[in-house]
Amino acid sequence: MTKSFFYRWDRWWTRKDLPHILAIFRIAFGSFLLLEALTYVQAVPTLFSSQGLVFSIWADAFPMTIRSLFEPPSVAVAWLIFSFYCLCSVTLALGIAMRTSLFSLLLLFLYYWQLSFHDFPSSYHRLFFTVLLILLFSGADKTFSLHMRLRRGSFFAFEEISILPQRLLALQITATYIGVASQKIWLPDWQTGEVLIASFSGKWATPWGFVLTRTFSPAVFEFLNWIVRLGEFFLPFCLWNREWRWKAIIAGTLFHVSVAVFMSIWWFLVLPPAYVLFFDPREVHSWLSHHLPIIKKR
Amino acid sequence: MGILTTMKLRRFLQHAVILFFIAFQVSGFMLTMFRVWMPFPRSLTLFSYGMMAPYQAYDRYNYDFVAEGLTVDGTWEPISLQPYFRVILGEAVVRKFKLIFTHPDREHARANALLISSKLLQLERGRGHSIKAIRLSWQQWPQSPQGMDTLRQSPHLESTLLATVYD
Repeated sequence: MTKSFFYRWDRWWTRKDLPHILAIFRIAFGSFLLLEALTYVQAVPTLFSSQGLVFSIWADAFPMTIRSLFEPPSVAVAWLIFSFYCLCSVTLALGIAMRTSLFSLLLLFLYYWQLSFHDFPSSYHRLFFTVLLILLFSGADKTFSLHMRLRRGSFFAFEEISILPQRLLALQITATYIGVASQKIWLPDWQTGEVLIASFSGKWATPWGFVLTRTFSPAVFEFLNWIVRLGEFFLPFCLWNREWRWKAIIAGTLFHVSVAVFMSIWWFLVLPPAYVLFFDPREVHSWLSHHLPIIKKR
Repeated sequence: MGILTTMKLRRFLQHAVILFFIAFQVSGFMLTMFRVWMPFPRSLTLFSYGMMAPYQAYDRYNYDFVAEGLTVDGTWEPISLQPYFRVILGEAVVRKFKLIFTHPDREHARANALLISSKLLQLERGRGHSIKAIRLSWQQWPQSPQGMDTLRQSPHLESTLLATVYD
């Protein structure tokens, strides 16, 4: 019994398996990082250089000789660093020099945090940092990558990889949903639909959000609040369940799209593509090779 | 023998990572749900908590800081802060709030406001605005389903002067 448990535990976490799921996630995540970076193009001079209201929180902790590395740079240097960030996102998505790209992105995340994003701390940036760290130790470039094109002659060539990074990423998403949903049981501000009315008419509200608050009665928001709380809680369990997975994917996608449309909090749209991490690698490979026969060839 | 040792070490490391990752999640969850600190590095617990803690509360008020510049003819004119926050509204408001209120301490807020005003004076002059002083105020007003700025007027608007910086 015990032996069987450890065998199953070990196999579930660490077995070698196909790399397509992690590769799909790598492409989606790299593209998402690039998209997010592009939304800051207009803001580069004033959010990331000495021409803005920017104050480093780390510079004072370092000796004078290296302090300037952390302080807001000139506009030209800010553009160079920003361009390098975009380049790393592209190379991550393309699967070339993946580890160098990931390591650079991790350092750049820390750099931008101490320079500018400490004024905009967010759950999703912590989530992105964790994802980058896990991908750093993964074989996410072992298919659908320029790395495989150069090494094996085909973008679609693949090698088996450890499933551990896929499991860790899926566990992180699960924990995030469960944590976010569970605390809403007792958080005072989540006990009535007022939270949604305020959210759809506050700083995050889009014009569509304001339309909602003008159109519907408080009872509707009360009902929506229950849907949100129950939905967020059950979503990760359904994602792990083969029978419920597609329903959960549709529900989760609708939820995050709604948050983006009514509240302009669009960064969590990275999660629906990440639902692929809950599938079995062989199932996805079988689906892909049915639709793209070239994938069958190694 | 060498290969075997490497394999054992690899497997040991893999399972150490798994257990560490589970502990990382549990510590974040315990803090999120029960405000209990587990015997786990505090900074990592906070980081894990940070991933589970978006949108815990909502604001009853809208808020913003406004800057005005003293022109050479002695009048105070508004300075547009839009060029400094070319991001979506929600992010701009959060950034402005955090710039001033990094700590919930009134004196600290005033010190931050002085720092921001000095930098703003320097930047505005660099942009060719001939102003002699900058003053920074914090405004807040109730929310309205009609729009973000609908109630940003008397008698709903509350304005607090945070700092004035002269050349």
